[in-house]
Order: sequence, then structure tokens, then C-alpha cells
Amino acid sequence: MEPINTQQVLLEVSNLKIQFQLKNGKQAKVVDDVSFSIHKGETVALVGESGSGKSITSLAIMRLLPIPPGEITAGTIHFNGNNLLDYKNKEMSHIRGNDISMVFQEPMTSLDPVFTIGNQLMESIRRHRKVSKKEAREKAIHLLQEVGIANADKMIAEYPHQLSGGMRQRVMIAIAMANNPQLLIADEPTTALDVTVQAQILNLMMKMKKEHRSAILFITHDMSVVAETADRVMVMYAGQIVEEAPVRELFLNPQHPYTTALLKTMPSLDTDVERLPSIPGIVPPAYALPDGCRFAPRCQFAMEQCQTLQPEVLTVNEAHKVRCHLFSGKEERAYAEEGSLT
Amino acid sequence: MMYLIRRFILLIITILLVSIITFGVFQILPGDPIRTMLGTEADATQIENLRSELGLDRPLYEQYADWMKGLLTGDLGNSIRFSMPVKDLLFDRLPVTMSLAGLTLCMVLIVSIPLGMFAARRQNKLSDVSLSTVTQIGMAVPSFWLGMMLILYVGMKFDFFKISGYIPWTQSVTGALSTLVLPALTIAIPQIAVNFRYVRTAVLEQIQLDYVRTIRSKGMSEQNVMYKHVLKNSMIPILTVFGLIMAEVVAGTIIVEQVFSLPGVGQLLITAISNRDFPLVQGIVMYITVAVVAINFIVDILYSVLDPRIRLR
Repeated sequence: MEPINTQQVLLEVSNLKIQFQLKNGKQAKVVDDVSFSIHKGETVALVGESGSGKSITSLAIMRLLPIPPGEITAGTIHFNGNNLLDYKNKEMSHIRGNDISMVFQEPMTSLDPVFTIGNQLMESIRRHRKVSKKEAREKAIHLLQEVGIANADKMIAEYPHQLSGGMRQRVMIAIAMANNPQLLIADEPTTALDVTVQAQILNLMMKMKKEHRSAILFITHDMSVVAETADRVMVMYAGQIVEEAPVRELFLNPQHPYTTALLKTMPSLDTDVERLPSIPGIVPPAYALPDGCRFAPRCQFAMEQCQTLQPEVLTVNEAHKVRCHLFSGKEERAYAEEGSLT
Repeated sequence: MMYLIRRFILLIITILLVSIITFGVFQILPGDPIRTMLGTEADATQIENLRSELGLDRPLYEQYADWMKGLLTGDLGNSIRFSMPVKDLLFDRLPVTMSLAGLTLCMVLIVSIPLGMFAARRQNKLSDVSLSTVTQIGMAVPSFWLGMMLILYVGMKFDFFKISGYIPWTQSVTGALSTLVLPALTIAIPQIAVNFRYVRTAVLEQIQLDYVRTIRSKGMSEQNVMYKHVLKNSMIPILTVFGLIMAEVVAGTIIVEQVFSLPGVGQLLITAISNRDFPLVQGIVMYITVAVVAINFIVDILYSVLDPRIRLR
């Protein structure tokens, strides 16, 4: 096996803007000027509260966004150098499930109830590979074994309702991995599962990623999942990426007050607390966003300019970016100090 | 399996109840078959003689038990009006009605399902809205009027169609079609309208479910999404309606056979009722009941074929 060139960019999202037309006539800017990239074989976590636009971003990459009411108003999504937004629906269907696949949050409803899991697995294999029914069946059994389902040759004839949530999520992962995708998008794949099963599914995903040499875009709101799985983290708030850094850097040196607050919500074994900390306030609705920094109303460090002026994306170091006025202050101070030294 | 056994017991009970109800209703109904047969000139002894000859003077439960016994051995008794076994009369007329109902059903399924799926995929677009409007009208049209309009504007204009009588399939297939297409259409149009709406609603409900997004995320074609997954899932709620539609179709044949002078069971029923021919009415009603109940039983079997979640119960 030749090594994966992790320097090579696999997915590059640039200045993506997504609007939703609401029933009351208002426009909701659900995703606003989002840019990020994923390298081959990399695991990137996209973190944020519900309503921050992370699921919408992933559906846009899959081109599964309901249009209307959704609309991609600006930006590009380059995958291996080609803009996915330029593809016709039919062309895109050859990418989906083949080069990019997805595992969803809700395993209980994500499979078709009236077909066997074997049928649903095999149809995916046969859609993208020219193989006989028999070969597809063998491949399907092999995949089920790979995701840790015992008696795979019998389980292939089971219907989704005969399986538990954890088992169904294993089947979903098998389907997603069936054609060795270069990118797997996992949208909160463990949120709906029992805590004991969560760890198993996470381990399974990391194992499958390694064996199938895929990159993963991991969407979650759980910082402990991020710590366990990701190489790099992007923190999303109210439709914008507010901070992006390698996982160690982000945990040790968070720059954005929102990231700091998120990290504080993680329960720790060392400290004894009666109540888990939470971030006061709620994410502003996407149709009524503040003029200035979107986190300002909940930010304890908010300054005057935060209320009126949207912060730009600033570079902390080569791999660490942040969208916050506080950091621009620090930067200026650093320049000033440098100046006084010379 | 338990599911089907339970359904089967229910089927037997239904047939039993209907037989008791028809029997009872006929006792309450005004009019006397004996007087109808003998005319107004008949005297009291004549009437009494015939009454005891036909066994109509015995207690009701005895008459009913007698009739039930006959039913189980396949003997439906003799028609008072035609002086012939009810069974023979029924079997004579049955092919006409069965052909009519079968053709109607094919029309309903072939038109309403693709049309409903088409409209659902174009929800709130012009084609969907106009289809919904047209079907609203289709549902409101009474079938006797529709039948007459079809005779006037289609039957009389095109030589192919015969507007009365029946030609058996065994004699000529096109002949049979020429007598059956218009009556079948008469029953089918309102039913197509009804079923179209159910299909549209069922499909709309399905396409917003999570599993559809999963299938799309696998890169499956739109045809696969719609005609494999969504169709099979939508058929489960549609099947329920399908049982009701079948009952409507069987009932529809009664009126339409009058309009198109088709010598079917429906026409026989009207004759039987107006002559107070109790054994014949009872026999025909039993036939209709068994037909409708049997269809519902088949529907129940189809449920368990379509939906694996039902098989377990």
C-alpha cells in the first residue's frame, strides 16, 4: 500500500454562503462565508452547538441540501480540484456513496424499513462497481464482518427493525465504507446511541478510516469526541467558523472566548463540580444575527467594537486561525512590543 | 402466521354478521314476494299454499338455519322470481361483473399510482396543482351521469364501443373490451381521483423521511429512490385505501350495469330486489360480501408481504 499523501488537499470549501427562505418571508443566513479544507486521510472535527450550521454545511458538500427552501448563494466546494457545485445532479450521484459518503445522526430511521440490510448494502455496491450479484453479496458479508457484525451471512437477510441502534449504525458505516470513499462525513454518528455503544462506534470509525484510507469530516458538539478522534478542529458558531487549529493547539491554547467556553463545558475527572458549566444565552437565530461579532451578546470579554464590527479571520500561526477582535488587540500589542525592542 | 389466522377468523365473523343483517333487513322491508308472484287477483288460500310450499311460513330462525346449512353445502336455494337455483343464476352473471371489476381495478392502479407519484415530485408546481383540481372534480361527479356522458360523447361517436350488452372474452377479446371499457371507465374515474390523492399524500410523506436521504447519499438514481424505495414504502398506507376502493368498485358495478345494460350480477340484484326475491337477494349480497371480505383478506396478506415489521406480530 502506498502511503497517503497527507499534504494533498482533498476538499476545499471557499467562502460558502447558504441562505434559507423562511415561511414567514425572512431570509436566514445559515452558513456565512465558511472556508476550510481537508487533506487526504485527515480527520477534521467540525464542532458547534445545534443550529450553528454544521449539518447544513455537510449536506451542502453532499449536495443533499433541500433546494428550495435552501440556496447556496456564494462560494465553491472543490473536491480533488473540481467544483462540486458545478456538477449536474446525475454526475453528483456518481460521487455520492462512491468518493464521498455520509453517516447520519439517527440510525433508527436512516435505513429503509422494508428492505433487508443486505439489499441496501448490495445496491450501493452495485451502483458504483460493476460486479455480479454474487460478488456484491460476498462483499456485503465481508463489510458486515468488518464492522463487527457476527453471523454476517445470516444478518444480511435481516430487516432494520430487527437490529438495535448500535447495530444499525454499524450497518450505516458498512454502507458508507462500501466503495472506499476518499471522504466520509459523519454527522453526529454517536449522539443518538447509548454511551457504552458510542465508544465502540467511534473506535470502529477510526479503524475503518485507517483500513479504507479515508479522510473524515466529523461533525459533533461533543468536545471529548473531538479530543479522541480529530487531527484538526474547526469551531463553528452561528454560521461562521470562529476558530480553527490542530487538536492539541486548540485544547492548550484556545483563542476565541467561545472555544474557551466550550472547553469548559467538558466535565473533568480531576475537579469536583456540583453543576456542569454551561454557556449563558442561546445561539442567535439565523434570521436575526447581530451586526457585529455573532458571539458578542454571550461573550464576557465583549468590547465596544464587538457590537458593531464583524471580526475578520486572523492568523495565530500557520495552522491556527481565529475570528475575534480580542486577538487583533493582542496582535497589535505584540507588534508594539516588538517595535519598542528595536 | 398468527396475524393471518386472526385475520381469517375475523373474515368468518364478518360474513356471518352480514348474513344475519341481510336476513333481518328483508323481514322488515315492506312488500311480499308471494303477492308479487301471484298478482292482486290471488285469494288467501292460494297465498297460504305457496307460502308453505316455499317454506316462508316457518319461524325465522328455522328459515335462517336452513339457509345457512344450504350455504355451507354450496346450495343457495331457488330464486322465487326465476324458479331456478340461485347458484346457476349467479354463475351465469358472475363473469360479466368480474370482468368489469377487474378492468376497472387495472385502470385505477395503472393511472392513479404513476400520476400520484408524478404530482408528489412536483409538489405545488403548476402540474401538481392542476392535477389536484381536476381530481377534485373527478371525485364529485356521480357515476350514473358520467356513464351517460360517456355513452353520449364517446360511445355514440366511435364505432368501436358498444353502449349496451356484453360480448364474452371467450368469443372475442376486442368485443369484450368494446362493451366493457366505457362502463369500467365510468366506475374508475372517481376512484382514480380518490386514489391519486392518497398516493400523492403517501409519497409526499415518504420523501421527507430520513431513509430517503440515506439512499440519495449512496448516490442511487432518482428512479431507484422513487420506484424502488419510496413506492414500496408508500404502498403500505395505499393498501388500506385499496381495500376500500375495491368495495367501491364492486358497489359501482351495480349502478353502471344498469346504465350500460350489462347482464351482470348488479342488474340481477336490482331485479331481485324489485321482485322481493329473497333467496336471490340473499345469495347476491352474500356474493358481494364474500368478494369484498376476501379482497380485504388478500390486502392483509399483501401488508405482511410488503412490510416486514407486520410479519412478526
